[in-house]
Amino acid sequence: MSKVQLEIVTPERIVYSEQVDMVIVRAANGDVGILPRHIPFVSPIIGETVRVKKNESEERIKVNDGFIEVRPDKITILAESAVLSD
Amino acid sequence: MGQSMRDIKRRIRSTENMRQITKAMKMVAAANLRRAQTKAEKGRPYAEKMRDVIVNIARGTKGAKHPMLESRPVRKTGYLVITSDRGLAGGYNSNLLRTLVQTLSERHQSKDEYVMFAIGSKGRDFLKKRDYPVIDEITGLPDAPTYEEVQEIVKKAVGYYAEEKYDQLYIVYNQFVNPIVQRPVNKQLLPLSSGNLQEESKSPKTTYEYEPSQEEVLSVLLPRYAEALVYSALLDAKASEFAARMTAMSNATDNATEMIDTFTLHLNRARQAAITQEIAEIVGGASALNG
Repeated sequence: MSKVQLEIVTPERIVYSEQVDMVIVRAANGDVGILPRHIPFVSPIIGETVRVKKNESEERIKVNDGFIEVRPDKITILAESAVLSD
Repeated sequence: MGQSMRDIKRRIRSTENMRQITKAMKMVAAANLRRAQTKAEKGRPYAEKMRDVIVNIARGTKGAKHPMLESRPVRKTGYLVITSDRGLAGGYNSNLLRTLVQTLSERHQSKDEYVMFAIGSKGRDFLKKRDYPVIDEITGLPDAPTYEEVQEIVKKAVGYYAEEKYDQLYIVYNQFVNPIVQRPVNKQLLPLSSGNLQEESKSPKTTYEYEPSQEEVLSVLLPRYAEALVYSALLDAKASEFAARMTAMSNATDNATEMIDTFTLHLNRARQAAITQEIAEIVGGASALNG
């Protein structure tokens, strides 16, 4: 299964940078699940939780004032702060 | 004999104490500088990424409109002046403030044309004492500020622009070139100049799909970008401050060492003189007896 690079960047550092299977966020017009090779897409993130699926497991990342930029090979989330939670 | 040996000894001791202090300050500044530099580096991807997206939007839409992109008639100019809270940093603050005063007198006729936003107590005191219009001030910033801690400042600075307290905003700070050189700069921050944004970005052009709309994405993104720029300027200023302090304290330590050497020489000379005199007295006394 193909993967996509996910980066979560805050003004202080790059919080997260890994190959993942799927990213689920609440975008401006509702939830979106983003798989590899998604068309380019930009939206603010409503809510705080980003769900990341990777190798059958799921991670949750809390972001504050986030923003998602999607390219076919790379997803970037820009946020003012981000915390990995388990 | 100019000074007694005891006086010279006392001066040597006090200079040694001073040297210890300046040496400690130099080492603290060096450690802080390293930290500030890594912090500034780690923050770079965020602003770059954001710029990429904004450039893409700006190129994709003909005439994307947003108050932060458009210049309006300038009634007031805002200056965000970043100085330090503490002194003993060589020419760090005075260089910056001197260039600021110079630019102000070149660019403006009267004090009604601009307002100041002072960061750091050195700059605030300087500006207030000379009756410059200071609309806001922030002091006591930590040595390694986190984004959360400075968020308030950057939001305020960008907010004043939105409230039309000023129609353009310049940011005045010491740019970090290398540990020896810090250059005072005066950069236009708002409105985000189109030249700044239209530079070719490294990433290839992509057509995005925007949710909910291009305009709204832009209106969320632009203030954040401005905030990121202020934050990176702040980190840069902090790095410069530590670099300036390190250089100043290093010089102070060298000077103290030099002084100690001179005093030690004086001390030796005084001691030798005392011994010579004593011998001369004894010899003189003996020859008087024998005579």
